[in-house]
Order: sequence, then structure tokens, then C-alpha cells
Amino acid sequence: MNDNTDTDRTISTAFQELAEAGPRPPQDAQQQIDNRVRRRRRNARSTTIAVTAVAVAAVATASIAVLGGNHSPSKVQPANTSDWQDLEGQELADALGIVPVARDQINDTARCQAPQASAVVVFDTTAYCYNASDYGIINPVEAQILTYQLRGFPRSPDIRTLATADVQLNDLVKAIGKDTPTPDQTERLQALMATIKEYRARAGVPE
Amino acid sequence: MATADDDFAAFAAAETPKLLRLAWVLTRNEHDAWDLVQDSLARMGSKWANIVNKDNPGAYARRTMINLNLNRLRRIRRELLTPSPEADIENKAHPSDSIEWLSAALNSLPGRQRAAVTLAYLEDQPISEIARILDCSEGTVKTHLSRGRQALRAAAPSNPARTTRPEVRG
Repeated sequence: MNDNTDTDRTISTAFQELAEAGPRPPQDAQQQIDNRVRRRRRNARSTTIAVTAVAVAAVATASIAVLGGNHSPSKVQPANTSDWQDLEGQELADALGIVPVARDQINDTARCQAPQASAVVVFDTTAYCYNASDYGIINPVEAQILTYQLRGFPRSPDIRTLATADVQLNDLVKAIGKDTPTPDQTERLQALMATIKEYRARAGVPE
Repeated sequence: MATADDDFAAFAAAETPKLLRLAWVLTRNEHDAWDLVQDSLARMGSKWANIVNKDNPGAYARRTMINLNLNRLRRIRRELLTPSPEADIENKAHPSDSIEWLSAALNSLPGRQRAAVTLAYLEDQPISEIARILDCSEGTVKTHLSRGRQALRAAAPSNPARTTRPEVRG
């Protein structure tokens, strides 16, 4: 019994130590949270509008088809707005001027958008579609899909792609384009580069 | 007069450090932890008026965060087919051996057990509150806690029966 009490005390202490070793909220924590709240509200409004528009269009198309007799309804491919929910890192996507996709949708999206989006980078927890021909990030033939997770590893089939993609920090910075990246973005890009180098080394790709 | 947004801002400011601690212990990765906190609060903020009137917002935030973390764990399990790089926790976050064992032991627990023991040990939450947060019965929480404690005790350095560290997974 005493042993358990002592052990529980050790566990409690370790929990507190572990928590103390953790990060502190960033200076602009409130701002970051507010931004995400606003974005979710905006996305929710957009979804409502899009769903309403699709519903109206569907009714109108069906009406035309019924009224027009032999006219078949045109094939409409509305954007799948559900794919756009729960996105993270939208600020960066906005800064990059690229299309964010839900991580679960990476491969499907890449397939359906190719060749327009010939590369997909998972940056932190968000996937970004790049138009490789615009940004020159990777060889679009060799690397259709480039996936990266800040701390994790990409899905195994993509390691080869990642390793063979000739990604340089400057290319990534260039992808940000219009402005100089913020220190935070630069830091994350450097982290990205470090991991890419690690993948390359593992895959035996020379520097 | 304070608006709903002000009200939410005050709630977020007060809860963020506590939620971040919880998220950190659940994930042991500062990026994931901060992301969980942000995501949970963003979800709450977007429907604050509904939440604040009918629920305990603190419990709601924790429930949201734990559910998001469970989703994250499922996603990681599905996606990370290759060996994981060293986790943040092992790289830099804590040099102390005394918590390294805890990190490894927590990794060995299933997601809900991990959440239950973390809420109990870190936040000192009573069983009824943990049940509310995990959205399950108190009996289930007791089971989670019992199994989780057993695993942690077995891994704790002060346990004389401890021989090896638990296997790390997830």
C-alpha cells in the first residue's frame, strides 16, 4: 500500500515536471486564436452560401431539364466544400497564395488537380498544393506528390519522391513570393529543409 | 457591456496556459500541443454563444481537445508508416530522466486511458469531471484510471518490480 502511495507520488511529481518542461503560449496567442475563430466563422458562412448555391443550381437545372424536355442537365462539378473544413495553417496558405487541402484529401486532391497542382507539401499539419511550374519547386515529372510532415515522416511511397525532389530553401522562400517571409515562416522553412535533407541522406541522395 | 467575443477572449486567455499544459502532456510535441489548443478554442469560439449557456466551457474545451487528439492519433497511426524521428520530448524538451519514463509510459497507453490519467494526475480532476470530459460513465473512467495507473506504476522508477521500460508505441 505504502509502495503504491510512494509510486503515485512519484507519478504525480513526474507529471508536474513534464508539464513544466512544456511550451508556454506564444506572445500573440490570443491573436492567433482570434484569427482561427474568424476563419472558421468565415468558412462556415462560405459553406452555407456554397451549399445554398449548389442547391439552387440543382433545382434550377432540374427545372430546366423538366421544362426543356429533351435537354439533359449539364454536368456541374461543384467544389467539395467539406474538404475545406478544419484546415490549419491558413495564414501561411494565404501568404503563399496556394491552395490548402485537408491532409486526408492529399492524394485525391493531388490526383484530381494534377497537373495544375503538381506538388503537395504537408507543412506542419496542413497540406498545400503547389503549382510546380509556377514556383519551380520540384520537377513535376519526377515528383507528382511531395509530402512532408514537420515532425513525422511522409507516407512511405513519398519518401522516394521527397528525396529525389530538388528542393532548396531558396525555392521554398521563393514560393512565399511577394514578401519576405516572417521570422516564424523562415524558421519553419528551415525546419522543413532540415528534414528534407534528412530524408535525402536516408535515401542516399548526394548533397 | 461585455460582448460574447470579449467573454470568449477572457475565457481563452484564462484557459490557454492550462490547456496547453494538458495538450503538451498528451502529445509531448509543442507544435501539436499548440495546434490542439488553437483548434479546440477556435471551434469553441465559433459557436461560443451556444456553448457558454449550456455547458461548462472548461470541460467542453478539454473534451474537444481530447477528441481532437484521439483523431490525431488515429491519423498518425494511419499515415506514419515509416519510423518516427525522435520526438521533441526526447530531443530537447526535458533533460530529466525522471520524466522520460513517464513520457514513454504515456506513449504505451491507449488514447482515452492516457487522457484519463493525465486529467487525474495533472489537473487533479475528480472522476465525475473526467467522465463528463470523456463523455463516458464514471465506471468506465475508473477502469481507464485503474489500468492506466497500473501501467504507470509498473514503469515508475520507484517501483521495485520495474525491470524494463514499457514499449513505446503510437
